[in-house]
Amino acid sequence: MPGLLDTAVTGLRISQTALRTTGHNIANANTPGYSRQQVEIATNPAQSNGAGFIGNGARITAIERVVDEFMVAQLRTDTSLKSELESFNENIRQLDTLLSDPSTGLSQSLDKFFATMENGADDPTSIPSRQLILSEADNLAQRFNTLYDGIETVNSNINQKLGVAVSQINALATSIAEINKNISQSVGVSDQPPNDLLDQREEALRQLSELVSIDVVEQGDGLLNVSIGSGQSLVVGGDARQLALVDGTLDPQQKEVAYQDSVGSQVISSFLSGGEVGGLLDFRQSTLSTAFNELGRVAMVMSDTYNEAHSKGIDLNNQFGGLFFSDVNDPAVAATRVFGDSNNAPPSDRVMSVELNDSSQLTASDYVMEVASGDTSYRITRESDGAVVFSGALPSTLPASIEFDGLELNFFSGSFQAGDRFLIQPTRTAARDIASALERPDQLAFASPVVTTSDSGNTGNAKISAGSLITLSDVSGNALPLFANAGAMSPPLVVQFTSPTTYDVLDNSDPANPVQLDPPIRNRTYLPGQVNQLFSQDPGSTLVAANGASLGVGASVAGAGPLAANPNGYPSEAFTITHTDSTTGIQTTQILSSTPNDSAKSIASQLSNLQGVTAIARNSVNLGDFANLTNSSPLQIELNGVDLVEYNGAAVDAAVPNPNTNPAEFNSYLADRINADPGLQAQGIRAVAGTNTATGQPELRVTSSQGDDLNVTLEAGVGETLSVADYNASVVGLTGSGAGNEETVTVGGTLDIELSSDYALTTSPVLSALLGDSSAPGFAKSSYLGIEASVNGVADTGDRFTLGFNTDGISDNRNAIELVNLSSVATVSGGLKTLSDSYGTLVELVGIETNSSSINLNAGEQVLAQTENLRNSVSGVNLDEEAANLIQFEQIYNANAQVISVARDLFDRLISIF
Amino acid sequence: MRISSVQIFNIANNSISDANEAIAKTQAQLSTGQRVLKPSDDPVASIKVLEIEQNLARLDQYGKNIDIAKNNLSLEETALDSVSNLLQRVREIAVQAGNNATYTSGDYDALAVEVDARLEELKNLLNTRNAGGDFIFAGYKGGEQPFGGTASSGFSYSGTDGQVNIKISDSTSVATSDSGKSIFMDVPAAQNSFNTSVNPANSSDPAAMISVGRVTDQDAYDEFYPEDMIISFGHDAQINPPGTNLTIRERSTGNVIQPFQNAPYNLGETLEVNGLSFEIAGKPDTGTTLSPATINFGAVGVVDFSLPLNTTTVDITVGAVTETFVLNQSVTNAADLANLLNDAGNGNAARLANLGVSASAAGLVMPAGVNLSISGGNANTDSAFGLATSTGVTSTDGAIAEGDQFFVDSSPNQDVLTTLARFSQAMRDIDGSQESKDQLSAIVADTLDNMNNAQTNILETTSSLGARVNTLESTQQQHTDTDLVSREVMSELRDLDYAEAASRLSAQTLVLEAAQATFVRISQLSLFSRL
Repeated sequence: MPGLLDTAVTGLRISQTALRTTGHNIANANTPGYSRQQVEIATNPAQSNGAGFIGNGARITAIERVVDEFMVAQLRTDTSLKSELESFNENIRQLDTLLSDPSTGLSQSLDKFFATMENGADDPTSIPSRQLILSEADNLAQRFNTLYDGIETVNSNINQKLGVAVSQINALATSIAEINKNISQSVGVSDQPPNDLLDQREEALRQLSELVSIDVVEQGDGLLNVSIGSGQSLVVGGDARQLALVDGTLDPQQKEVAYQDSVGSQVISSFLSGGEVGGLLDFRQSTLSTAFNELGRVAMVMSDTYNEAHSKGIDLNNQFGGLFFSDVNDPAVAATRVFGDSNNAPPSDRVMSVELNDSSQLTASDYVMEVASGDTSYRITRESDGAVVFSGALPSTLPASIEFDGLELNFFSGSFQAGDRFLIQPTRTAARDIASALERPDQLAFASPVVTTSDSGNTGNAKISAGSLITLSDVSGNALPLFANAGAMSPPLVVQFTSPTTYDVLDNSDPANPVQLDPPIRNRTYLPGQVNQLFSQDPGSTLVAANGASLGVGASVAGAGPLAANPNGYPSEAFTITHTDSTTGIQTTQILSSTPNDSAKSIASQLSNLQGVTAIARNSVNLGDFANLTNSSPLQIELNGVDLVEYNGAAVDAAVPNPNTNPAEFNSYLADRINADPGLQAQGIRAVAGTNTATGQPELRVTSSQGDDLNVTLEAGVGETLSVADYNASVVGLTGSGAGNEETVTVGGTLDIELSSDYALTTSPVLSALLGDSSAPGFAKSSYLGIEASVNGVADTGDRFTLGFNTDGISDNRNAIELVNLSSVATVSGGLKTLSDSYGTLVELVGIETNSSSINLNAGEQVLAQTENLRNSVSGVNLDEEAANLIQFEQIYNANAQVISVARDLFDRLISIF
Repeated sequence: MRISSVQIFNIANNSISDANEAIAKTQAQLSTGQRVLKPSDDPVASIKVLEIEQNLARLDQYGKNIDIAKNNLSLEETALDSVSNLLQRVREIAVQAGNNATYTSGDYDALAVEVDARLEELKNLLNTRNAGGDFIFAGYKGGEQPFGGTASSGFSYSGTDGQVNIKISDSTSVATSDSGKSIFMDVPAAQNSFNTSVNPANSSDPAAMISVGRVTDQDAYDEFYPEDMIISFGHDAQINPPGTNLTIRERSTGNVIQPFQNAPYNLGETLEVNGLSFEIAGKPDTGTTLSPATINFGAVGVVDFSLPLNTTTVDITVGAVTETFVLNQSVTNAADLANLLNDAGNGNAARLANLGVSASAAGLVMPAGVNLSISGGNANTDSAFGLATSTGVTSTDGAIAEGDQFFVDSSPNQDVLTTLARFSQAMRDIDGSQESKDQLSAIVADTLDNMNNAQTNILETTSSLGARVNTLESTQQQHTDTDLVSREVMSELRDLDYAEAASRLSAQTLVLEAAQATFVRISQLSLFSRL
C-alpha cells in the first residue's frame, strides 16, 4: 500500500501548498504591487510494471506570480506621465489663483490707481486727491511686490520639492540595487522565481517612475538596470548612482538636478522628463519664468512710462517732476540683471549692467550672451524664440555698451574671455524692485511747464495752442537748453508776426528788445487758415544760419547813369546734401550748384526742392547817413529801379524833407515811398524808418521777405554819401559824383537752411560766400527745442504770442492728463498692449495653461486608471476566487486524506486477517 | 474580464470621488452665482470679463469726471450770470447818465458812487473761487488772485491763458474753465485802446509801477495806433542839472518820440504822449552813468609809423556791428592816422558813422558807452596803432545808461473793469462845464459799446458752456448705454444659469447616491460570508 499512501501524500502536500499560497494571496489582497501567485502542479513520473504505468501522484513544479510584463512597463510609463501632469497642475493652480484672485492679483490695484489718477487730474490743486494718488501708487507697488513674493514662493517650493524628490530617487535607487542583489542570490540558490522580491522591485520601480521617467533594461540573472534622462545609469545591477541638487551655474536662484558618478557632477535637468521632477522642471521652465518676466515687464514699463511722463511736468513748487516710481535704471538694480556663469574662467571680475532704453520694445524674455570658445566674437540669443538679437566682437576698450530690444548692455570692466556665458534677465525681478518714489503730494507734477499767451494788443484773430513739452533731452540724451534752468524757460520766447504771412520766433529775455535765437527761427511762412507748427518736431533737425557777408561780395559800381543793376556777385557754389541712413549707414548725396549772381530767393527755392532741406531766404539792407545829402537836384535814391525822391519838374518836390537838417523825417519819407510802391509791395519789400540802437542815427530798414536782391543806386552832389549796410552790418558808402553820375550796389539775400534728421550740408568751396565756413564746428546747429505749439487763424503784422514758463500754474492739469492717458495708451510690446492688457494676457496665459493642464491631468489619470485596472485584472487578488480556491483545495486535501484513510483501511483489513 | 477585489473598491472610490468633485464645483457656482470662478475654468470668457471689468471701472470714473465737470461749469455759469446782471445795471446807469441833461455834478457823483460799488463787486465776481479755493477765472494760476489793481493804479490780470480740461471718455476731453483774460480782458473796445505794463526784467525793488492810463485825445492816439511805446529811464547824469529822466521810443522802429529824449520827469507826474496819459510811480532803477568807451593809440605798445600801412585793413566792432576799415595811405603821425580813419573818400567816414565811433589823434571813442574792439590787423597796424590789433583789443571803460523800462502797448481791447473805472471817473470829472459834459457823453457812448462787447463775450462763453454741458450729458448717456450692454455681456459670460445649475446638481446628486448604493450592495457580495 505504500504506493497509494505516497500518492495521497503528494496530493496532501500539493493541497497544503496550494492552501498556503491561497492564504498568502488573501493576506496580500491589499498589498501595493503584490501579484497574485499560483501553484504550478505536474504529474509525478509513472511507475512502469507489466500491466502498464501506474501513476505516482503529483508534485509542485513552481509557485508563480501572475504577471504581464508589458502591463508592468506600461504602468510605469503611465505613472510617470500622470505624476508629471499632477505636479505641473498642482503648481500652476497656485499661480492661477494668485494672479486672478481679487485680493492678490494686480487688476484691481491697477484700476484703483488709474481711477485716483483721474481724480487727481479733475482737481489738480486738491491735496487730498494728490495724497490718495500717493497711497494708491504705494499700494500698487506693494501689490507688485506681493505678487512677486507669491511667485517667488512657488519657485522656492519647487527647489524644495526637487530636493525631496532627489533624495527619494536616491533612496529608491539604493533599494532597487539592494533587491537586485537579493534576487540574483536567490536565483543562484534555486531556479525558482523569488516572487515577492520581484514584486518589491516592481513596486520600487513604480514609485521611482512617480518621481521621474525611467528606462528599465533586463541584464540577465534576474538583474534589472535603470537609467534616467538621456541614458544616465541610475542602477546597474547591485550598484546605485546618486543624484544631487546643485545651484544653477547661470542662474543661482534655480536649483538644478545633477548626476554624480566617478567622473564628477553633471547637470542633467534639461534631459529629465516625466514624474514629479519632470513636472516641476517643465513648470519652472515654461510657466514660472513667463510669469516672473511678464509681471516684471508690466512693472518696468509702468515705472518707465510714468517716470518719463512725470518728468515732463512741473509740481506745485514749480519744479520738474522727479521719479514717480523707483528708477528702472538705478545702477544697483541694473547690475542685478546680468549673471555670469559660475563656470566662466577665473578671475570672476566682469562688471556689467543692463539698462532700459525704450520700454515699448521690451520683451518678456531672458537672454543668453555667449562668447565663442575660440575668439572674442559673441552673440546674444533671445531665449523665448532662440533668435540671435546681437552679435559682435568683445569691446577692446571699456566701458562700452551695445543696444538690443530696447535694452542697453553695459560692459564696465573685467577680463571678458573666450567661452564666457552670461544670463541676462531684464525683467525677472522688476516686480520686486518697483517702489513708489513720491514722498509728498505737492511733488506730483500735474502742470505742463509751457504756457502760451496771446498779446492783448493783437489785432488779428489768430490763436496760439496751449503748447506742450515734448522732451527735455536731445537725441543723444543731453539736456536741451530751454528748460535747463530751474523754474524758468531759457530763454522765454515771443512769436512776432512781421507780416500776416511771416513770423519770427525771438528770444524774449528782454521784452523791450527781443533778439534772434541761435540758430534763428526767422522769416517763417505762416499760412492763415491752417494749423502752423511753430517749432521743428524733428529731434535731429539742424539749421545752417546765414553767416556769409552778402554785401562784401557785390562791389559797388560807379559811372554815368542810368546804370544797369550790377550783379550781387555771388560766386557759383556747390551745396552737397548728404543723407546717412541711421540703420544701414548708407550715404546718399544730392548736389546743387548755384548759378553765379543768383538771388538768395532762387537758390532757396532750388535747395528746398531737395530731399530733407527747407531753405528760407530773406534780405535786408539798412540805409543811413542821410545828413550828408542835400535835398536838391540831382539827389535821387533808387531801390530796385524805383525812384524814391519825388521831383516836381526839375526840382525836388517840396514835400521831401531836408535830409541834412531833418534826417529822421527824410527817413520816414523814404519808408513811406517804399511801402506805397505797388511794384515793391508785390516783391514783399517793406521798409521801416527806424533808429540805430547803437548810434541813435536814423536808419531805413528795407527787408525782402522772399530774399530778392536789393539794389540801391545813389545820384547826388559831389562827395555826398549814403551808407548801405547789409544784415551783418557790413557797410559800403555810395558817393555822389554830380548830375548824370550814379553809384550802385546790389545786396544779395541770405539763406537759413533747415536740414531734417540725418542730413548734412557741405559746401564747395568750404568757405562759402553765403553761409560761411562749412567745416567750422557749429556750422549746422540743432534747431530742436523740444517743445510744441501752433498758431492758427488770421494774424496781423505786429501780433505777438509769448511762450514762457508756467510759474505757479497749479490749476493746470495737462501733464496729469498725460499721466492718465498712460492707462489707456498701448505702451507695452511695441505699442500693442496697454498695461492692463499686458497683465490680462499673463492671467489669460496662465488660465489657459491651467485649464489644459487640468484636462491633460484628467486624461493622464484615466489612462493610468485603465492600465492599473488591466494590471489588477491580471495580477490582482480576487477574494471570491480565493475563497473558491480555498474550498477547492480543502476538498482536494480532504479527498487525499480520504485516500490515506482508504490506504489505512486496506492495511488494517490486511492486518486483521492475521 | 477578470476582476480583482481591489478593482471593485477602486471603481467605487473613483466614481464616488468624481461625483463628489462635480457636486462641490456646482455648489461653489451656486453659492457665488458665478459660472467662471477661476480663469482656468474658462480662460477665454475670463479674460473678456477682466476687460469688461476694467472698462466698467473706467466708465465709472468717467461718470465721476462728468459730475465734476458739470459742477465746475455750473459754477462758472453762475458767476457769468452775476457778471452779466451787474453789467446790465451799469448799462442802465450809463443810459441814465447819458440822457439826463438836468443832472448836477452831485447827481453824477452819486451815480459814480454806485458804479464804484459795482466795480468792487465785479472785481470780486471775477475773482470767484471754487469749493477747493481756486480762482476759476485765473487760467492755470488758480492759486493767485487773477484780477488785481484799483481804478487809480490800473487793473491787471495776473492769471494765464489756457483752459483746464477734464477727460470724459477715452477720446474726449471737455474744457471746464475759461481764462478770465479772454472773457473780461480782451473785450473789443469802441475806440483804440492800450495796455501799460512793467518790463519783467526791471531791477528796481520794490518795483516801480505804471498806471493804467487813459486816452485823453482819441484822435491823436488813433494817428499813432497801432504803434507801441517803450519808456526807458536814463541815469540822472544824462541831463544837466542831473535828475530823473526818461526816453520814450516807438517799439517797432526804435525812433525817439520827441521831445522825450532824456526828458526830465518827476515821479508820479502825468505823462501825456500821443493822446495818452499815464503816470509812473515808485522808484525806477536808473542804471549806471553813461561813460564813453575809449581805445587810445599806444595803449598797448609804442606807436611806430616806420612800417608801411597803405595796404592793410583793421576791423572795428561795436556791439554786433563790425566794419572793416581800409588803410590806403601811409601815415607818419597819429593825426594822419585819425584823418585816414575819417576819410570819406575810401568810405571810412561812413563806416565810423555807422558804428557811431569818432576817431581823433588820441584814439577811438564810442560816446554812447558801448564797448568797442579793434581787431583783424597785422604787425604793421599793431605798431602804427600802438595796439594789439592782430589779436584784438577791447575797451573796458564804456558804460551805457540802461534803467527800468515800461511798456505802453496799443490794443484793440479794453478790460471790463477799466471800462467801469473810466466811466466812473468821467462822471466825477463833471465840473459843470460843457466840455466835461461832452467828454462824459463821449465816454457814455464808448461805455455802452464796451458793455455790449463785454456782454457779447460773456454770451459767447455762456453758450460755449451750454454746448459743453450738452457734450457732457450726451457722453454720460452714452456711458450709461455702454455700461448696460457691458454688464449684460459680462453677465452672459460669467454668471450662472441657476436653472441649469440646479438641475445639474440634482443629476449629480443622483449619480452620487447611485454610486454609493451600488458600492454598499457590491461590497456585501463576498463568498467568505457564505462559508
